[in-house]
Amino acid sequence: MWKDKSFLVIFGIFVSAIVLLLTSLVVGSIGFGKDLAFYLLSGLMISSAVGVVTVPNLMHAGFLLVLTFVSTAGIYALLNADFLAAAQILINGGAVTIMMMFAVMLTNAKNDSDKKPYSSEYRFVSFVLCCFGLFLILILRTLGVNINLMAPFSKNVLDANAGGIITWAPSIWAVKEPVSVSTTEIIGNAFFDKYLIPFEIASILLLMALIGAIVLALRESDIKEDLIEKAKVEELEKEVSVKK
Amino acid sequence: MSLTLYHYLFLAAVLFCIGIYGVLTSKNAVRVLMSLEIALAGVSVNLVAFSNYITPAQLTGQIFTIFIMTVSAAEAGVGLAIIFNVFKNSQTADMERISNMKW
Repeated sequence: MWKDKSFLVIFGIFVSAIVLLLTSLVVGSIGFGKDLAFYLLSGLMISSAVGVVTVPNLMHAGFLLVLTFVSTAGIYALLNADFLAAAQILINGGAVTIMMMFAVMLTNAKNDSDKKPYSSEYRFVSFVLCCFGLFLILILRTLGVNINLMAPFSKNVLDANAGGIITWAPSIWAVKEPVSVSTTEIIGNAFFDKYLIPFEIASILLLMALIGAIVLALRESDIKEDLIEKAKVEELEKEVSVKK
Repeated sequence: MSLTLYHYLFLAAVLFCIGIYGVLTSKNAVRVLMSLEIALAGVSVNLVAFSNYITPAQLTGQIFTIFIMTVSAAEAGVGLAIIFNVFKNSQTADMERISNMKW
Protein backbone atom coordinates (compact mmCIF):
# COMPACT_ATOMS: atom_id res chain seq x y z
CA MET A 1 0.00 0.00 0.00
CA TRP A 2 2.82 2.40 0.84
CA LYS A 3 4.49 1.89 -2.50
CA ASP A 4 1.44 3.28 -4.23
CA LYS A 5 2.44 6.86 -4.98
CA SER A 6 -1.06 8.17 -5.52
CA PHE A 7 -1.97 6.94 -2.08
CA LEU A 8 1.02 8.78 -0.63
CA VAL A 9 -0.01 11.95 -2.41
CA ILE A 10 -3.55 11.67 -1.08
CA PHE A 11 -2.25 10.97 2.41
CA GLY A 12 0.07 13.97 2.28
CA ILE A 13 -2.78 16.20 1.14
CA PHE A 14 -4.87 14.80 3.97
CA VAL A 15 -2.31 15.46 6.70
CA SER A 16 -1.44 18.93 5.45
CA ALA A 17 -5.13 19.76 5.14
CA ILE A 18 -5.79 18.73 8.71
CA VAL A 19 -2.86 20.83 9.92
CA LEU A 20 -4.20 23.74 7.86
CA LEU A 21 -7.66 23.21 9.29
CA LEU A 22 -6.49 23.19 12.89
CA THR A 23 -4.39 26.30 12.40
CA SER A 24 -7.26 28.07 10.69
CA LEU A 25 -9.60 27.17 13.53
CA VAL A 26 -7.11 28.40 16.11
CA VAL A 27 -6.63 31.61 14.17
CA GLY A 28 -10.38 31.99 13.84
CA SER A 29 -10.99 31.42 17.53
CA ILE A 30 -8.46 34.05 18.50
CA GLY A 31 -10.78 36.58 16.95
CA PHE A 32 -9.07 37.87 13.86
CA GLY A 33 -9.15 35.97 10.64
CA LYS A 34 -12.55 34.31 10.81
CA ASP A 35 -12.79 35.16 7.13
CA LEU A 36 -9.50 33.44 6.48
CA ALA A 37 -10.70 30.35 8.33
CA PHE A 38 -13.94 30.34 6.36
CA TYR A 39 -12.24 30.61 2.99
CA LEU A 40 -9.62 27.98 3.82
CA LEU A 41 -12.25 25.56 5.12
CA SER A 42 -14.66 26.09 2.27
CA GLY A 43 -11.92 25.75 -0.33
CA LEU A 44 -10.79 22.53 1.33
CA MET A 45 -14.35 21.29 1.52
CA ILE A 46 -15.29 22.04 -2.10
CA SER A 47 -12.06 20.64 -3.52
CA SER A 48 -12.32 17.44 -1.50
CA ALA A 49 -15.99 17.06 -2.44
CA VAL A 50 -15.05 17.39 -6.11
CA GLY A 51 -12.38 14.80 -5.42
CA VAL A 52 -14.92 12.38 -3.95
CA VAL A 53 -17.00 12.69 -7.09
CA THR A 54 -14.20 12.47 -9.66
CA VAL A 55 -11.25 10.44 -8.27
CA PRO A 56 -11.14 7.06 -10.04
CA ASN A 57 -9.98 5.04 -7.02
CA LEU A 58 -12.84 4.48 -4.61
CA MET A 59 -10.64 4.16 -1.52
CA HIS A 60 -9.18 7.59 -2.20
CA ALA A 61 -12.73 8.87 -2.58
CA GLY A 62 -13.46 7.49 0.89
CA PHE A 63 -10.46 9.29 2.40
CA LEU A 64 -11.50 12.51 0.70
CA LEU A 65 -15.00 12.01 2.09
CA VAL A 66 -13.49 12.00 5.60
CA LEU A 67 -11.75 15.24 4.71
CA THR A 68 -15.01 16.76 3.50
CA PHE A 69 -16.74 15.87 6.74
CA VAL A 70 -13.90 17.17 8.90
CA SER A 71 -13.92 20.50 7.11
CA THR A 72 -17.71 20.59 7.45
CA ALA A 73 -17.12 20.23 11.18
CA GLY A 74 -14.77 23.20 10.96
CA ILE A 75 -17.52 25.24 9.30
CA TYR A 76 -19.88 24.23 12.12
CA ALA A 77 -17.31 25.37 14.65
CA LEU A 78 -17.14 28.73 12.87
CA LEU A 79 -20.92 28.93 13.16
CA ASN A 80 -20.80 28.51 16.97
CA ALA A 81 -22.10 24.93 16.81
CA ASP A 82 -19.52 23.18 18.96
CA PHE A 83 -21.61 20.11 19.82
CA LEU A 84 -22.50 19.60 16.18
CA ALA A 85 -18.87 19.88 15.12
CA ALA A 86 -17.87 17.10 17.52
CA ALA A 87 -20.85 14.97 16.49
CA GLN A 88 -20.06 15.49 12.82
CA ILE A 89 -16.49 14.26 13.26
CA LEU A 90 -17.59 11.29 15.38
CA ILE A 91 -20.61 10.13 13.40
CA ASN A 92 -20.04 11.14 9.79
CA GLY A 93 -16.27 11.43 9.71
CA GLY A 94 -15.82 8.26 11.71
CA ALA A 95 -18.62 5.75 11.56
CA VAL A 96 -20.32 6.43 8.24
CA THR A 97 -17.12 6.68 6.23
CA ILE A 98 -15.69 3.56 7.86
CA MET A 99 -18.83 1.76 6.75
CA MET A 100 -18.36 3.16 3.24
CA MET A 101 -14.76 1.92 3.19
CA PHE A 102 -15.88 -1.54 4.27
CA ALA A 103 -18.44 -1.52 1.48
CA VAL A 104 -15.76 -0.50 -1.02
CA MET A 105 -13.44 -3.26 0.14
CA LEU A 106 -16.14 -5.92 0.23
CA THR A 107 -17.63 -5.11 -3.16
CA ASN A 108 -14.41 -4.42 -5.01
CA ALA A 109 -14.65 -7.05 -7.69
CA LYS A 110 -12.17 -6.93 -10.51
CA ASN A 111 -14.80 -6.58 -13.17
CA ASP A 112 -16.45 -3.48 -11.83
CA SER A 113 -15.08 -0.07 -10.97
CA ASP A 114 -15.37 3.44 -12.19
CA LYS A 115 -12.74 2.78 -14.81
CA LYS A 116 -15.37 2.94 -17.49
CA PRO A 117 -17.40 6.01 -16.60
CA TYR A 118 -20.46 7.21 -18.38
CA SER A 119 -20.07 8.77 -21.79
CA SER A 120 -18.74 12.31 -21.90
CA GLU A 121 -21.98 13.58 -23.41
CA TYR A 122 -24.00 12.27 -20.47
CA ARG A 123 -21.56 13.74 -17.98
CA PHE A 124 -21.58 17.08 -19.82
CA VAL A 125 -25.38 17.20 -19.79
CA SER A 126 -25.56 16.43 -16.08
CA PHE A 127 -22.82 18.98 -15.38
CA VAL A 128 -24.78 21.65 -17.23
CA LEU A 129 -27.97 20.62 -15.42
CA CYS A 130 -26.28 20.89 -12.02
CA CYS A 131 -24.33 24.10 -12.63
CA PHE A 132 -26.69 26.13 -14.74
CA GLY A 133 -29.98 24.68 -13.59
CA LEU A 134 -29.96 23.67 -9.97
CA PHE A 135 -27.10 25.90 -8.85
CA LEU A 136 -28.51 28.96 -10.59
CA ILE A 137 -31.93 28.38 -9.05
CA LEU A 138 -30.40 27.99 -5.59
CA ILE A 139 -28.26 31.11 -5.93
CA LEU A 140 -31.06 33.25 -7.34
CA ARG A 141 -33.31 32.09 -4.53
CA THR A 142 -30.60 32.93 -2.02
CA LEU A 143 -30.17 36.41 -3.43
CA GLY A 144 -33.88 37.09 -3.17
CA VAL A 145 -35.17 36.49 -6.69
CA ASN A 146 -38.23 34.32 -6.30
CA ILE A 147 -38.74 32.21 -9.38
CA ASN A 148 -42.36 31.15 -9.24
CA LEU A 149 -42.41 28.06 -11.40
CA MET A 150 -46.09 27.47 -10.71
CA ALA A 151 -47.17 30.92 -11.88
CA PRO A 152 -48.56 29.84 -15.29
CA PHE A 153 -50.65 27.14 -13.60
CA SER A 154 -52.01 29.01 -10.62
CA LYS A 155 -55.47 30.52 -10.75
CA ASN A 156 -54.85 32.78 -7.82
CA VAL A 157 -54.53 36.39 -8.97
CA LEU A 158 -51.96 37.24 -6.35
CA ASP A 159 -49.71 34.43 -7.46
CA ALA A 160 -50.07 34.98 -11.17
CA ASN A 161 -49.52 38.72 -11.31
CA ALA A 162 -45.78 38.66 -11.87
CA GLY A 163 -45.68 36.30 -14.78
CA GLY A 164 -42.98 34.11 -13.35
CA ILE A 165 -40.37 36.20 -11.58
CA ILE A 166 -40.99 38.07 -8.36
CA THR A 167 -38.28 40.05 -6.64
CA TRP A 168 -38.63 40.92 -3.03
CA ALA A 169 -36.34 42.15 -0.33
CA PRO A 170 -35.39 39.31 1.98
CA SER A 171 -35.96 41.28 5.15
CA ILE A 172 -36.21 38.17 7.30
CA TRP A 173 -32.71 37.22 6.22
CA ALA A 174 -31.24 40.39 7.59
CA VAL A 175 -28.04 39.23 9.13
CA LYS A 176 -27.67 39.47 12.87
CA GLU A 177 -24.45 39.13 14.69
CA PRO A 178 -23.80 35.56 15.73
CA VAL A 179 -24.05 34.92 19.45
CA SER A 180 -21.48 32.70 21.04
CA VAL A 181 -23.17 30.32 23.46
CA SER A 182 -22.53 26.85 24.75
CA THR A 183 -24.92 24.82 22.65
CA THR A 184 -24.85 21.42 24.31
CA GLU A 185 -27.08 22.36 27.23
CA ILE A 186 -29.63 24.11 25.02
CA ILE A 187 -29.77 21.17 22.60
CA GLY A 188 -30.20 18.66 25.43
CA ASN A 189 -32.98 20.69 27.02
CA ALA A 190 -34.73 21.08 23.66
CA PHE A 191 -34.55 17.35 22.99
CA PHE A 192 -36.34 16.46 26.19
CA ASP A 193 -38.73 19.36 26.15
CA LYS A 194 -39.93 20.66 22.81
CA TYR A 195 -38.63 18.01 20.44
CA LEU A 196 -39.35 14.94 22.54
CA ILE A 197 -41.55 13.15 20.00
CA PRO A 198 -39.20 13.70 17.03
CA PHE A 199 -36.38 12.47 19.26
CA GLU A 200 -38.25 9.26 20.05
CA ILE A 201 -39.15 8.80 16.39
CA ALA A 202 -35.49 9.22 15.47
CA SER A 203 -34.51 6.56 17.99
CA ILE A 204 -37.13 4.20 16.58
CA LEU A 205 -35.79 4.93 13.09
CA LEU A 206 -32.27 4.03 14.23
CA LEU A 207 -33.53 0.78 15.75
CA MET A 208 -35.36 -0.06 12.53
CA ALA A 209 -32.26 0.68 10.47
CA LEU A 210 -30.16 -1.52 12.77
CA ILE A 211 -32.50 -4.49 12.52
CA GLY A 212 -33.07 -3.92 8.81
CA ALA A 213 -29.36 -3.80 8.04
CA ILE A 214 -28.73 -7.02 10.00
CA VAL A 215 -31.62 -8.81 8.28
CA LEU A 216 -30.54 -7.61 4.85
CA ALA A 217 -26.88 -8.45 5.35
CA LEU A 218 -27.47 -11.93 6.77
CA ARG A 219 -27.43 -14.59 4.13
CA GLU A 220 -30.67 -16.47 3.75
CA SER A 221 -28.76 -19.75 3.62
CA ASP A 222 -27.28 -18.98 7.05
CA ILE A 223 -30.72 -18.60 8.54
CA LYS A 224 -31.89 -21.80 6.85
CA GLU A 225 -28.86 -23.73 8.06
CA ASP A 226 -29.45 -22.50 11.56
CA LEU A 227 -33.07 -23.59 11.42
CA ILE A 228 -32.14 -27.02 10.04
CA GLU A 229 -29.55 -27.52 12.75
CA LYS A 230 -32.02 -26.53 15.42
CA ALA A 231 -34.56 -28.98 14.02
CA LYS A 232 -31.95 -31.73 13.99
CA VAL A 233 -30.98 -31.02 17.59
CA GLU A 234 -34.60 -31.08 18.64
CA GLU A 235 -35.16 -34.41 16.88
CA LEU A 236 -32.12 -35.88 18.59
CA GLU A 237 -33.33 -34.68 21.95
CA LYS A 238 -36.73 -36.22 21.30
CA GLU A 239 -35.14 -39.54 20.35
CA VAL A 240 -33.05 -39.47 23.49
CA SER A 241 -36.06 -38.77 25.67
CA VAL A 242 -38.07 -41.51 23.97
CA LYS A 243 -35.27 -44.00 24.56
CA LYS A 244 -35.14 -43.03 28.19
CA MET B 1 -15.74 42.56 5.05
CA SER B 2 -17.23 40.25 7.58
CA LEU B 3 -18.87 36.95 6.88
CA THR B 4 -22.54 37.09 6.09
CA LEU B 5 -25.25 34.46 5.84
CA TYR B 6 -24.91 34.53 2.05
CA HIS B 7 -21.37 33.15 2.17
CA TYR B 8 -22.60 30.06 3.96
CA LEU B 9 -25.66 29.69 1.72
CA PHE B 10 -23.40 29.90 -1.33
CA LEU B 11 -21.10 27.22 0.09
CA ALA B 12 -24.08 25.01 0.84
CA ALA B 13 -25.43 25.43 -2.69
CA VAL B 14 -22.05 24.50 -4.17
CA LEU B 15 -21.84 21.38 -1.99
CA PHE B 16 -25.37 20.31 -2.79
CA CYS B 17 -24.78 20.66 -6.53
CA ILE B 18 -21.54 18.66 -6.33
CA GLY B 19 -23.43 15.94 -4.51
CA ILE B 20 -26.24 15.84 -7.07
CA TYR B 21 -23.69 15.76 -9.89
CA GLY B 22 -21.99 12.81 -8.22
CA VAL B 23 -25.29 10.96 -7.82
CA LEU B 24 -26.04 11.49 -11.49
CA THR B 25 -22.68 10.53 -12.93
CA SER B 26 -21.16 7.82 -10.74
CA LYS B 27 -21.47 4.21 -11.74
CA ASN B 28 -20.47 2.50 -8.53
CA ALA B 29 -23.31 2.24 -6.04
CA VAL B 30 -21.03 3.01 -3.07
CA ARG B 31 -19.94 6.25 -4.70
CA VAL B 32 -23.59 7.17 -5.19
CA LEU B 33 -24.05 6.86 -1.43
CA MET B 34 -20.94 8.99 -0.82
CA SER B 35 -22.28 11.72 -3.11
CA LEU B 36 -25.58 11.58 -1.26
CA GLU B 37 -23.71 12.17 1.99
CA ILE B 38 -22.06 15.24 0.45
CA ALA B 39 -25.45 16.63 -0.58
CA LEU B 40 -26.74 16.05 2.95
CA ALA B 41 -23.68 17.86 4.36
CA GLY B 42 -24.57 20.83 2.17
CA VAL B 43 -28.10 20.87 3.53
CA SER B 44 -26.75 20.67 7.08
CA VAL B 45 -24.43 23.64 6.52
CA ASN B 46 -27.44 25.58 5.28
CA LEU B 47 -29.47 24.74 8.39
CA VAL B 48 -26.65 25.51 10.82
CA ALA B 49 -26.01 28.86 9.12
CA PHE B 50 -29.68 29.82 9.41
CA SER B 51 -29.67 28.68 13.02
CA ASN B 52 -26.66 30.84 13.81
CA TYR B 53 -27.84 33.99 12.10
CA ILE B 54 -31.62 33.92 12.62
CA THR B 55 -32.38 31.95 15.78
CA PRO B 56 -29.13 32.13 17.74
CA ALA B 57 -30.85 31.44 21.06
CA GLN B 58 -33.21 28.56 20.23
CA LEU B 59 -30.80 26.62 17.95
CA THR B 60 -33.66 25.17 15.88
CA GLY B 61 -31.45 24.54 12.86
CA GLN B 62 -28.86 22.67 14.89
CA ILE B 63 -31.51 20.31 16.25
CA PHE B 64 -32.75 19.70 12.71
CA THR B 65 -29.16 18.98 11.71
CA ILE B 66 -28.90 16.32 14.40
CA PHE B 67 -32.01 14.69 12.96
CA ILE B 68 -30.47 14.88 9.48
CA MET B 69 -27.36 13.13 10.84
CA THR B 70 -29.53 10.39 12.34
CA VAL B 71 -31.39 9.83 9.10
CA SER B 72 -28.21 9.87 7.01
CA ALA B 73 -26.53 7.32 9.27
CA ALA B 74 -29.57 5.04 9.06
CA GLU B 75 -29.72 5.52 5.31
CA ALA B 76 -26.04 4.67 4.91
CA GLY B 77 -26.43 1.48 6.96
CA VAL B 78 -29.48 0.18 5.13
CA GLY B 79 -28.16 1.30 1.73
CA LEU B 80 -24.85 -0.48 2.21
CA ALA B 81 -26.65 -3.64 3.34
CA ILE B 82 -28.73 -3.51 0.16
CA ILE B 83 -25.56 -3.01 -1.90
CA PHE B 84 -23.99 -6.07 -0.23
CA ASN B 85 -27.03 -8.14 -1.11
CA VAL B 86 -27.06 -6.94 -4.71
CA PHE B 87 -23.35 -7.66 -4.95
CA LYS B 88 -23.88 -11.16 -3.59
CA ASN B 89 -26.59 -11.85 -6.13
CA SER B 90 -25.11 -10.32 -9.24
CA GLN B 91 -21.35 -10.06 -8.43
CA THR B 92 -21.30 -6.38 -9.29
CA ALA B 93 -21.95 -3.00 -7.71
CA ASP B 94 -22.18 -1.25 -11.06
CA MET B 95 -25.34 0.78 -11.40
CA GLU B 96 -25.53 0.09 -15.14
CA ARG B 97 -25.23 -3.67 -14.83
CA ILE B 98 -27.77 -4.13 -12.06
CA SER B 99 -30.66 -4.54 -14.44
CA ASN B 100 -32.66 -7.35 -12.85
CA MET B 101 -35.35 -5.02 -11.63
CA LYS B 102 -35.47 -2.86 -14.73
CA TRP B 103 -39.05 -2.38 -15.74
